[in-house]
Parts: sequence; structure tokens; C-alpha cells
Amino acid sequence: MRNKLSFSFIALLVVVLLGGVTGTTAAQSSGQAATFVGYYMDTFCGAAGKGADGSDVVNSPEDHTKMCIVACKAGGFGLSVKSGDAYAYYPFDKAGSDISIKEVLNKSKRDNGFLISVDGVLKDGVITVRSIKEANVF
Amino acid sequence: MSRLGGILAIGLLLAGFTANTALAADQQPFRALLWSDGEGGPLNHALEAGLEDFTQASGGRYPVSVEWVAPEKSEAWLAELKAAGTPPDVYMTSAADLKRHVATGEAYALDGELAKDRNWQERFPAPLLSLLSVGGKTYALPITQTVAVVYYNTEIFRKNGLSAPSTYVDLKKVVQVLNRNGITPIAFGNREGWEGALLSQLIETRLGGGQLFEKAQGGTGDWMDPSFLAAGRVLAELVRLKAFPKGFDEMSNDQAVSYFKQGRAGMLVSRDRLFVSLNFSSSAVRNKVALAPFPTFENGDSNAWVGSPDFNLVVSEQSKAKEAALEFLKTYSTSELQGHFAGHAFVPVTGVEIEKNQLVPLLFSLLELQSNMTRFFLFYNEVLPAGAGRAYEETIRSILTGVDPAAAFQRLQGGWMALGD
Repeated sequence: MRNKLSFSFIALLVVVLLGGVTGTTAAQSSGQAATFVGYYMDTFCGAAGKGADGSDVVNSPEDHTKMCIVACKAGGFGLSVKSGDAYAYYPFDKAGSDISIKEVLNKSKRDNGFLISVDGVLKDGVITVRSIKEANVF
Repeated sequence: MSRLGGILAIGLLLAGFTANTALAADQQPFRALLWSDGEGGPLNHALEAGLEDFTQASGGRYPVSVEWVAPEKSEAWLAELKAAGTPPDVYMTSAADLKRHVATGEAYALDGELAKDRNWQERFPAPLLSLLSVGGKTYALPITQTVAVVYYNTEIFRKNGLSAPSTYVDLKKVVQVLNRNGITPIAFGNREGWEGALLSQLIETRLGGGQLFEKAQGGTGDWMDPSFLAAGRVLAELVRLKAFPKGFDEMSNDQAVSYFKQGRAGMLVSRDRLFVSLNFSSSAVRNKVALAPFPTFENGDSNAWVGSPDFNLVVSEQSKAKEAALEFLKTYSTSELQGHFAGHAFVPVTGVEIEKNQLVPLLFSLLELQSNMTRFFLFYNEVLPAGAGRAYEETIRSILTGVDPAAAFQRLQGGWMALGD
């Protein structure tokens, strides 16, 4: 079981490190449906490029805490996706933010490091969400 | 207004609060002077969330005009506004500066209002509220707090068969075991001087109940109090036991924190808001830190904490909008707003319930520990005038570098008496 989980995690890491970047770029230019993997983030901190909890959301979005994400919920949510050496932030559409509350904030037991997988369309810098699931496997 | 030009004044940031044009001719906006850490800063963001909540809850009955000011410039600006006959309805101040506002009759006593709403009053721990009382009356309500705690590396403690020291005897054993195993017991630096003074105050508070500084400052006590001397001896003993890193006198607080984050020390005594950063992915102690109150001493007070109420809101005595002002204060003690401040790594103060899974574990742990708090004492540098604070810091520094505690405090007492003459 543990080996299976580890394998899944490694597979997700590969997606984060490779697929996340290329997928984003392709989808951004075409507006086609794609799967994006990255760290769940609130728009206030993601757009500012610094976490209000003191975390470095550009280089280490995995440090951003749930308590900060909850505190900043009024501005909506999105995804920090690996882009070169750092992470770029893409907000969700309003419906996507609502889905993320249900599927991530309300379900996850984590304090930080919400690795999530998002099916949707990236157009004009905004991800129109179809579905979201937490990608953390341990 | 040009005289205020140098002062950080973002002012009327939110569109919702600039709608004063919609007011009736005889209706004045409710005015608040709030501290700012810059646009987009965590303090600003949490305060702005409160402004939105206040506006929504009041249904727009109290249009708000906000002036933002950097904390260090707040008192000067406030003095200007008061001199111009235009004091704000609500403003922020420190516990130390509050006494001056009360003495000049500028602060409104809140006891009557708190008594009318017990639910509101009970949100504030009484020991913390007592720091904002003058002559038995409460003149300000805090939004958050700063508090000194001991962080310890659970992995180091576990590997060495240790548990968090709850007494000084335990602490000495921890120091000896860690030293024997080549681990620095306490990450500590005293380059600025305040770090040692804080450590000393924590010990004195445990030994003497914490009102030593007020007594020394007020003339009802002195620097030769047995608790000061005993604390000095404890510090000297900790140096002798090699509790601190080599060269601690030249190590800054930031370096000490970094030393702990690198996993090189068993403990860290700090007043910094490290609840989040200790668990950053770059930290070697990620998920290996717990916190505890400072160890106690035989016959000492184990429930006393040292810190400061922060972002204290005061209602102006001259305010003609006290109803709005009180509602404004209430807004910042709600569960939601306290959670917002906690989300930005500030330590909440109110007795409201915040869901455990919405707080990082270290912050939740602190709030649990504080639920038994019976007394809370202000940081020494908020009790003592600046000059006396520095003299105290130098006294502690001299003890940490080998001067006999009795001689060091005798010298401080002598200087103090000469100052009084």
C-alpha cells in the first residue's frame, strides 16, 4: 500500500514539475481543456506574490497555510503552478472558487501544502474550473 | 495637513468608505485612526476585513472614514489631530501610551459598556485586559497579543529521552543532557541587549510575580528586590552550564532563530511570531517543534505570561459617535475577525472559538496553554521609560558576561537613585 502511495506521489511530482508548466502554457495559448496541478492558493496572497502569513508563495507555495487561505477567502481562490524556477498564480473563476471550498478547504485535513489537480480551461489568465481534487496522497 | 505630509497616510483606501458624499448634510462620518503596515500588508488586510464586516453589520448606518498611520508615527499624528480639535472617534495605541491618553482625559472608559454586554466582555481574558486598565477602569480593547514562549525541538528531545522542562530543575537537567550529547541547549543571542532582558524578565516573572518593574518604576520597590537578584543568579548559572551557543553575546535574535531552525539547538525562547515560519519547507525543524510556557521555579508563579496586548482600540472621550465606535470595537472581537488575524499569524486574544483545523498547530497549542492563564505582564520595555529600559538591558548584559548579579543590580539601583535625585 505504502509503495503504491509513494509511486502515486512521485507520479504527481512529475506532473507538477513538468506537466504543470507545459500544460499551462499550451492551455493558455489555446484555451483548451487541460489538467493543471499545483498548490491551492487564495487570490489575495497569490496575486500579491507574498503570503499574508509570512510565507513565500512565489518560491514555496507549499508553505502557505490553510488558516491564511481561509482568512483571505473573500478574494477567491486559484492555483500556483510551477513556472520555471518559481510559481505563477492563476485565479479560478467564481464557480471554481466555490468548488474548491467544497473539494479542498472543507475536505482536506492538511494545515498547508494543498497539492491539487484541476480540470478546466485557462483563458486570459483565469482557470474556468470543471473539477478539482486534492492530489496529496499522504 | 501639509505638516502631516511626512506621515504615512494611505487614507480612505476602500471605495466603500469614501462614500461620504452620500451623507446627509448634518451627518459626520465615523472616523478611525488605524495602524498600517502598508497597502497589502497582513495587518492592513485584516483591518480592512473588519471594516467591511463593520459596514455590513451596521447596514451602512455608520459611514467610516479611515486614516492609516505607521505605528511609530501614530502618537505624533494623534497629537496633531487633537490639537486641531479633530480627534478621531477611535484610534489605536500601545499599552504604554494609553496611560497618557487617560491622564489627559482623552480616552473613554469602557467598563460600563462592557458590563452591558457580558458576552462581549468575556471574550477578553481578564489578565490581558488588566494591562489596558488605569485606576481600575478599562480604556482600550486589544485585537491581538504578543507573547513570549519556549519552542523546543521535539526530535532532539525524543532522541535524548527528554520531555519539555516544566521547572527550572528540569531545565538544568535538559541543559546538562543536551550538552553531554553535543547539542546546544538554548538558541539565544544577546547582541541587541533586549533578548537577555526578556529572558531575565521571564525568570523574574516566575520568581517574583511580575510586578517588579512597575514597583521599581513607581518607587514602591527597587532593583535590589530578591527576585531580580535571584533571576540574575539563574542567568549566571545558565551561562556557567553552557546553556547558550558560543559567542551568544554577539549573536543577533535573527541568528538565534536561524540557529534553532537549522536544528542546532534544543530550545528557543522567543517573542517572535514563529508559528508559521518554523514549519516552512526550508526549516530543518519542520513539524518537529512544540511550545511550552517558560519553566517555573519552586514557589514561583507558573501561570504568569509576559507579553503585550497589540493593536489596542481606544474610543475618544470627545467622540460624538460613541455608539458607532463601540460597534466598531465589537467587530474586531468576533470569531471571524479573530480568525482572520490568526490567519495572518497574529495571536488572537479573545475567548471566541476558532476551529482547530483552521489554525496551525503551534498557534492552537499556544491558545490552549493560555486558557489557564491567570496573569499577564507587560514587556519590561513597555513598563520602563526608554532610558531605564536600556540601563536594565545593560545590567543583564553585564551579568551574562560575568559580573556578579548583586553588584550589577546595585549599580543599576545607584544609577536609578541618582536619576531620581
